[in-house]
Amino acid sequence: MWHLYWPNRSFKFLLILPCLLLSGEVFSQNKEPQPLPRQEISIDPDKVPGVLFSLEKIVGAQNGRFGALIKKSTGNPASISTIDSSKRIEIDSTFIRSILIHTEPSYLALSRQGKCSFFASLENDLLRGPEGVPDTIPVMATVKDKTTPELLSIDRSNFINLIYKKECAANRDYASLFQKNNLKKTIDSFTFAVPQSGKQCQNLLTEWASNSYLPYLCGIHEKIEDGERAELQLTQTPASELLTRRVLGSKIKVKEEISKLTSVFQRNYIGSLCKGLDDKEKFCSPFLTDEIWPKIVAGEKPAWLIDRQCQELLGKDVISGQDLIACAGRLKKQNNLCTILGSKQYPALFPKPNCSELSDALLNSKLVTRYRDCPGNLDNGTITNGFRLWSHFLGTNDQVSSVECAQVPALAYATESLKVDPKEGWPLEICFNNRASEARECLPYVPGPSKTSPLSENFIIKKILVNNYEMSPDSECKVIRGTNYNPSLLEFKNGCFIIYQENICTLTNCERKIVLNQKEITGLEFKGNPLFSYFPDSIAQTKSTLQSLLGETLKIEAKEIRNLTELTFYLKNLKTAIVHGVGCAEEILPSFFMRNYFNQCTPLPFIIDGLSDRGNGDDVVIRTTLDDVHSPRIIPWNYIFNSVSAFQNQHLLKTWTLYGIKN
Amino acid sequence: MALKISLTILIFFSISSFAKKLPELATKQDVANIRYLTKDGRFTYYQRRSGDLLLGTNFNVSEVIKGSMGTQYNITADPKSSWIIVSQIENYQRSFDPRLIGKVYRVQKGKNVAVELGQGVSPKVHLSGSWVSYYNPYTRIISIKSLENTQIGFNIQTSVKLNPFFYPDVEMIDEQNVFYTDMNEKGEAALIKFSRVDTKTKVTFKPKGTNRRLEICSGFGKMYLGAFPYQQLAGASEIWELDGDKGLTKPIYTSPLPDIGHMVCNHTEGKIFFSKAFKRGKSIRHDIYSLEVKDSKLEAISDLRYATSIINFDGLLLIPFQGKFLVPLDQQQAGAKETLSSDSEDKK
Repeated sequence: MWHLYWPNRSFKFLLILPCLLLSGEVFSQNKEPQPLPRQEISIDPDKVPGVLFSLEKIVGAQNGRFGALIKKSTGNPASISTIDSSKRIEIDSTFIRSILIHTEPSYLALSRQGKCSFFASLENDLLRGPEGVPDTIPVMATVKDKTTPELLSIDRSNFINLIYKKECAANRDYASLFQKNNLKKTIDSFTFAVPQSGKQCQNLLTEWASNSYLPYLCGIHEKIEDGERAELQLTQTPASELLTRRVLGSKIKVKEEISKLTSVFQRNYIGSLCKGLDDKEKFCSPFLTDEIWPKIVAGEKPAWLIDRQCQELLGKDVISGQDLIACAGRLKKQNNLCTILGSKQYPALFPKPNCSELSDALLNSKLVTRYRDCPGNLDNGTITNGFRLWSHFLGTNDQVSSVECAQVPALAYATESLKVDPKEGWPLEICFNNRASEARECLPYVPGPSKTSPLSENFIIKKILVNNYEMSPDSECKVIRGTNYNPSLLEFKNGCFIIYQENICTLTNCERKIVLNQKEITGLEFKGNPLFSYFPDSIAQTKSTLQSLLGETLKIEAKEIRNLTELTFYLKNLKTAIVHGVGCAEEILPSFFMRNYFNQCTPLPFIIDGLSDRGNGDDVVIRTTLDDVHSPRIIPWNYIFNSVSAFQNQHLLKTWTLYGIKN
Repeated sequence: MALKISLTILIFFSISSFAKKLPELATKQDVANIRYLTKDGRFTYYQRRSGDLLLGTNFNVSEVIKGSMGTQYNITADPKSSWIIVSQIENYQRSFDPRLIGKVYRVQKGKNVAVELGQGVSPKVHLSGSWVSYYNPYTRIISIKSLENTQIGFNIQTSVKLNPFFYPDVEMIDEQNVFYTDMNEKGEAALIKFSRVDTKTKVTFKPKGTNRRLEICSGFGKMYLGAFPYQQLAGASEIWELDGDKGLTKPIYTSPLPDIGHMVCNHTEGKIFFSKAFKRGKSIRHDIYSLEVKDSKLEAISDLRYATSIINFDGLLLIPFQGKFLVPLDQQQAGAKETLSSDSEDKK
């Protein structure tokens, strides 16, 4: 199908704009403009602004002329039915000069590809005058029943229809392919090739530039940008300005519709292409750079690699394309920003790798991380790694707030574990005296709040309080920090509150107080210790380990990894395959964990999901269960080997604890 | 069952340089089970798979602490002290969190009676093994106790940290004053001096930026402060001499490369052993170096490229590597050789 989208190569390239600028022979429908040899140009500063004037003067003079032109032409409106289409129609030269000044250079380059490209650019809102995209076009044309051409003003869409009746008729078909109903199919049929070298990129850009569909693709990009600008403008527009808000709302709606029909990669690729038509560096550099940031902006790498951190950096819940560009720009420029970003809300090992190391790690990373977690609030690495592995293979995509960031992994672990072992799959429970049966009962729970999970602490406590402490079934229990609880405030006078006393509240270390209608509830006992084996600790242990849970829930294949060759094969040749295991923290992260004792080993689970090109080719990309999932580190393979060897010595079964897994 | 447990070191006399292969520490008992071995080889503390800590002598084995399956022990001691400090970590094989709090015990060397001192992580002995410190990462309190009289002790409350996995490094200057490292809410490290007399703290040294890990080291009546980067790929390293009253006095060593540190200062007088960075191709690699305090002369004592730590095991300098313990400077391990000689003769 690809050939369908290549333009008819028989069209003649027109260097229209220099021609239009200097000759005044503008877009005659009967004559092909010819490029004018530059050495023959004689510039009259009064007639043609040029390098002899400051930009301000040029623009000022041109705007003056443009204003006079518009005033004159709008006094003489025309329509398709009044213009004699059999005669010559020319766009006014002053109008063309304005377009030269006000249109983005990349779109000027696009419109210079040929007259059909010019008209398609005009049709797709890519060409701009002093007041933005022109609604009307001043043309020299002949009115029916008259013999001499005169200056007329014609609506832009009418002008386009008029022109397409005479030539560039294929543009109509192209336009129909980019209508809402066809858009997804059309965009999906393009091959958005990622260049691997400068030469390849240049060739790719040349091919794209001569593609007749390009103005329409850029039109899509402009609609997205219009929508993003409208979103910003809407927040600053008073509610009383109904008309403005309606216009902005319709632009936002168009953007949202396009976003639904296209992928982030497609949108970003098209954006890079449309912005880089006049300068190959603009288009090529994101693909050819050895940094992740421009590749994310260009759409070559997924936005979710950084969008959660960008939310925090920019203080926004939703990240737009413009936000992503701004955020990536800051991460590229401020190397130390990455060491601290998100550390307060999502506690993890600090400092995190700087932006340079993070970029190198993410370039070679495979783990799917469309969520947030916070290892500092979760004191069992088995749960952290289990959640990360499930999320990778299941493609989990969650917005996780800082209040939920420890509970979401724990809930995932508890749910999967209880599926496999309903009796002993999850050890945490709340015990209470059932007032009806007068018996001691215990219910399994997962610490932390959830809006939906019946296993969550707020649901279980509500259940107990409703049945035993006369709590209204219509009320909810809210989990809050002790620092935010003020019983003197009205909002805390009624209802159920679970108050975490410490800022860091983990599964095993969390002092909490339960208050119902200002009265502290004291009869509840939080029991259990979340202890899980990562690999079997005894020969008889065939279940209740993370390894067995992963096998049962994901149906994955596991393979022991013993050396760098096996690791390289596994990570490079198998698409979704990653490697996980347990080693000693003192070997994996020696800058963070001192070794003070003989045979000291702090067991630390980790995931390896890439090989770094940064050093001598023997470094790996790793996320330990202490690290923020969005902050992978680069360490030598030998550290991993040493750490697993050291842990093997301390393991109850002397097990080698490094496995590759794939589904 | 009587067990004879003693240290044997496989010395490869044909090896003249560390550049080839360092000898490996070997014992009759499985090395992985050993937790502490006195320099004279008379007493060995080791753990069993069942979770118990045992004391082995030439003629006897006795239980020191009973534990459940999966319990892990760490032991620290000063060679001059009559006490050892045992840290008992239950659920070691199922918790996977470095903050897992253990019970801290005092045991007299060669004896099997354990007295619980408290609960915490990272116990360390001070002032020739007469005091001990340990840390609670949840309350962020450093507890310091006398080993002679466990009723005597005091606590230091550290600040709120950006790193939930931060452990302070503690060094007692004397019975009234303590140096410790801390991290503030911005993630910046500092060396703090705590005075027990007025319970006040004073910042002695605060390096710029967040990429600085401070490490205190002491031995032969001297103290040293190392500042090393957390980032393994970037950052400079420094070591100073540290005075209890004056703070940092004399810079001993600087390097533009990211050393790991893990300094050992109590093995050879006037020498600091640490893991130092060097460039190999495009990568940074690490080996163990000795640093002369008087003239800052450096000498590599390993050629492993991935040597990230070194420990002083009751007078025996050991490099943990690939699950083994390598013995550098073999000609200087006099104490070990003496122990070895009897075993070697036995073997012959």
